[in-house]
Amino acid sequence: MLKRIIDPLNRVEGDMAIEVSIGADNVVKDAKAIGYVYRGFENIFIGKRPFDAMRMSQRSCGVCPVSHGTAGAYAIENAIDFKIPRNAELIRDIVLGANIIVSNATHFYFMWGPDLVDKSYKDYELYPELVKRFDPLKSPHLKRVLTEARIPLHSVVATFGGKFPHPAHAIPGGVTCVPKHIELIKANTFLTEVKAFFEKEILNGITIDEWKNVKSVKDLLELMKNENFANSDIGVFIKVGQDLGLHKLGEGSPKNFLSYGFGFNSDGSMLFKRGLVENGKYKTVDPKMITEDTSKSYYENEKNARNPVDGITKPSVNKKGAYTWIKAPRYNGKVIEAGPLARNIVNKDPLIMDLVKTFGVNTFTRTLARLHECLLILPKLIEWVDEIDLSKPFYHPFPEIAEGVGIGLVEAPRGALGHFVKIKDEKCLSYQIITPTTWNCSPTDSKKEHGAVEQALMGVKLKDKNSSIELAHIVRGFDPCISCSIHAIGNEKKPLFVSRVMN
Amino acid sequence: MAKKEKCKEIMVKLFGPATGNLVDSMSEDDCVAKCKDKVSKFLGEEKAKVFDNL
Amino acid sequence: MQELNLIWIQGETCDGDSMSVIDATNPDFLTFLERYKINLLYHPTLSPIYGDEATKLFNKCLSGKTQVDIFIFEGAIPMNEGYGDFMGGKSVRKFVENFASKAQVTIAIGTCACFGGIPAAEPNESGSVGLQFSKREKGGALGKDYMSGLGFPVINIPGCPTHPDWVINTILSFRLGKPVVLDEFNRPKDYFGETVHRGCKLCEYHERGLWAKDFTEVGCLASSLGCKGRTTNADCNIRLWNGVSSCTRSGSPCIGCCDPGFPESMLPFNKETLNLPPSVLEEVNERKQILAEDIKNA
Repeated sequence: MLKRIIDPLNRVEGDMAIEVSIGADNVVKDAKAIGYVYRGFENIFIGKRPFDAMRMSQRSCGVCPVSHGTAGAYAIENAIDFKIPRNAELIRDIVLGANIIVSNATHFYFMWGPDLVDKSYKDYELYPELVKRFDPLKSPHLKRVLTEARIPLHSVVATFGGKFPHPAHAIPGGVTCVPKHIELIKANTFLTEVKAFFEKEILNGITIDEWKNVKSVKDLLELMKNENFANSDIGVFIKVGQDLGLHKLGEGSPKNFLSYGFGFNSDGSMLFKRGLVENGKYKTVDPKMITEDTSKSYYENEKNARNPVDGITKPSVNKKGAYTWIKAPRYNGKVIEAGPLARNIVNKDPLIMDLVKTFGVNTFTRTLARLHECLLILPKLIEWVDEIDLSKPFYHPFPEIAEGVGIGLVEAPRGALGHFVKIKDEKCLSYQIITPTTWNCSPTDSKKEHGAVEQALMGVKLKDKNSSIELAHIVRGFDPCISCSIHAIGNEKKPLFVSRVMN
Repeated sequence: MAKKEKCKEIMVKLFGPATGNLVDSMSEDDCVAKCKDKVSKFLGEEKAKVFDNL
Repeated sequence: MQELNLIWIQGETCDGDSMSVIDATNPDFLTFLERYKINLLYHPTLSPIYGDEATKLFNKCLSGKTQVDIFIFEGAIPMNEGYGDFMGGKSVRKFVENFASKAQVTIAIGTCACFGGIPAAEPNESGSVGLQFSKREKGGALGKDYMSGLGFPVINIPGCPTHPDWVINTILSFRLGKPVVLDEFNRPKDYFGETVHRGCKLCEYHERGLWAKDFTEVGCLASSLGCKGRTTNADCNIRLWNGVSSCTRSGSPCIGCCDPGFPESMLPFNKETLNLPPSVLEEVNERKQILAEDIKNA
């Protein structure tokens, strides 16, 4: 059995490592997802005021600080069942939506895409097309994505939240900003220009409205006949994905999907519904069903896995058999996949449902779902900016909470994010966070079930057992955010910088 | 003025007092070459010409 | 102009400083690298190389085969055994020491890398510190005597996150020959000689003593909402963020994220703090008086 460690595995948020055992038949038999460095955020929040903990908790992730800030505010509000004004709801969703689009696009163009210009693909006929689009740091197209999408969308975030990263708008009770018409106009124009950029340079002349009419694989194939679309980034990806067999990678993950939902419409419905798919059955989410297992994590062993509301974080640095600092959250005991694909499956998005039916759950469909939802969210943001009513409040005075339990559930770019806070004497008795990457990159649990990323790696037959590229496609396809997973990781003592292939 | 003093003056002007202090540890013989090296590396040959007449 | 090799490494980080710096404008980050011949040898989120190839690069840097001209570090450094093993099982501290010893210029970006930041807040299980400071105290991971090839201590560019202009312009100082002068916390004076209060659009309310009692009320955020803008050194309100705004502009009190003592020294974030310098209150009353007299005389 060949044991390989890929370290550092970068172009995920924060560096991580993966360790795989590969059989003589080139099939991955075992996999461990390993990140680095424990920061102990949750224990820092104990004894702090909930507001202060919320502001700091946002700083657990510089990529998705919006979702953390928003989840923190919802959690504190939830402790007293506080309903925020519609304007506040709108601004939270506009800022979060902008963050989701930026994060998805940054992932596709800057982190995941560069693997497609790997030297092993150099004889592939579309290789020049890939270089044109994804050559890291060099492609003029990447620069356009940076200056015409990422930067203006962050200006939208800052218009309401002051700055990105770590915008400050979300507070218990609503939002801090009281925009004027000029700010709404500015947000609208930023978004309109980004939309025009997506249509012109990412969809190559196809409008987002035309894209929204694509509701099945048949529609998609029809659209691929349009030369402009076929040559667009998404069109090229669809062709390349199938040519390179990305739909055969990362299929082994559990087929359980969780989404906390995103985007409140004025009628109370959501753009992306909250829900759970367990063994193909649609269910409502009950946070009581969540537990965190620490069998293989560097935390003191517990008799029973705890619900995050009663969760504790007690490091045990030299624990035998442990290989990661990430806990293993489970829903109803089941391993869960979170992320854009899960979000779209829970939402029963017609195109994504048909894609999954045709191609399955894999790196290809995960990536396509990530691109697809950008196009759904973007026009919605413009509608939401329009709906803001300056004659109505943005905040309702929020009291200090003496005692209570609050749960804040939001969709971060990478999927289901929960903040769980217990308050006593106006201070945090505990503050636990379960990020999407904690769901996806979790280790083996007490029932010996591997986490989602580990399962996705297992069973894959590699073309070349010494090449990392397929493994990288799979892991990066989940868009892991290690900095976010807080209880990130230590590992065994190993020598410095040796190329580590172990037999 | 000694070469070291002139070098120091130039380095303070181009990089700031921290790099100026670095000249103190250099010798009168090697300070020009050492400083010129740093300036041409970071700021280019053109700016390094200032050392030519020292 | 010769190419400069830049290597960028992260410790206990949220990645926020990287995410902030790549949003630089005029020039954008990619143009900046190209125009000023900065060769980005390694960046955790942007580099095409990883795994063995990255390992080979690190080894080349340490053996001196590849020069490290600029070394940027992001995130705090865990000093306690067992908490900070990364990249090949080597401690973050060792990693940092190795690279800093080779670098011509070493820059700590973000409050974590400069002073320890949130990971270094109590109970600080990981024993986290900044590169050359531990909160307000000199020392940190590299020790107070560390000096880079160009004679600088670690240049501290704090902020949670840091501002792209602060980072890009500091690097450009070393390309365009503009001196970098540091303050007592080794921060470039150009940016950290200001306070967040300066240029705040709410200054007028401060001057008139009109305080917002709760969020979204009209008035200065300093009193009831605990804004730390007057005692925090950074030019946020002069420079603005993402080209359009700042914390206080969007109605949110400054939480002092650039301060060496952040976060503990800034708690509670949104309540009036007792440690307001008396000089500030004097200043307020003084301004009020001046204004009143001026109106009377008019």
